[in-house]
Amino acid sequence: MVYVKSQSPAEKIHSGATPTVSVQGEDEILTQLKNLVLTRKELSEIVESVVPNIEEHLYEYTPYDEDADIEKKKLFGKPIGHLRDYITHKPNQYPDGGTDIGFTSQAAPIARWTNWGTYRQKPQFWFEKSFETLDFDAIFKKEGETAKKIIAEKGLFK
Amino acid sequence: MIAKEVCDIIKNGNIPNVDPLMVFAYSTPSDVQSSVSNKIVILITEISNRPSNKHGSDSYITKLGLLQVQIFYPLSVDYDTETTIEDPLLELMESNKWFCVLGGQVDRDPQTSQLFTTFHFQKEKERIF
Repeated sequence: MVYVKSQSPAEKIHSGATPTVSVQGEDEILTQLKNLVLTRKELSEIVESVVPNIEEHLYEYTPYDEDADIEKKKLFGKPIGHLRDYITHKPNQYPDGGTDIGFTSQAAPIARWTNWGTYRQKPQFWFEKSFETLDFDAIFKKEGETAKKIIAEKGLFK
Repeated sequence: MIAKEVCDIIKNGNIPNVDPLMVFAYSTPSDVQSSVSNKIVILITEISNRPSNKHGSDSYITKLGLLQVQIFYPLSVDYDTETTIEDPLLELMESNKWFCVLGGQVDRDPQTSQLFTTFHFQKEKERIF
């Protein structure tokens, strides 16, 4: 009888009761350990749980001119609306479940021009300000909760 | 005043095709803005310069400086800007402990149609007591 005590990364973040599991034999240990390895889809699920919060935060910081006549607004000859309506990301983009959050290629030049400035336009660095003011504690907490749920669903901790 | 510090580094860096008189900190003069220069224009702006998370005796001991360097090219250039301008600039910045953390993408200016590149550099500086 081997007694294995494990703690997931999520559990480390949220110190609560330490989850335990009892296993018998090497095969069972290996099976249980496999449960600890999250798949790309599961990792992406953890990330996706916080993406709306981050996108919403970026939305608030993206320059917005409520008086702009978007019916007449064009970029490189194509109609374009408010920059903040072009926030996007690619779910399951990277093997670790991560994703880039930004703007569609259609609107990305406007984001760079306003954020970094141009020859005659001062930089605003609103993207950097958005990142600096992001509540990372809340983000990691929510990710931790999702991770905990996924691990529990896999049946490792009962 | 990290932008001023980097402005002086670039001005004295002897980067080919870069006129020290066309390197500016914080903003470009209005006469430069009103015309498209036939020379390369470099603009350095500060993003942030704040205490890092390193502390000693209840006080911060280093500061993290983050700044932006933009290279605006003339409408016509007959040399490879990457090897002639950007690589020497990156080397010069690195040798002065300013490390590139973002950038390198070429954009087209919406008003002047000039091509320009943006780099972000970061440096951790010890606090002078």
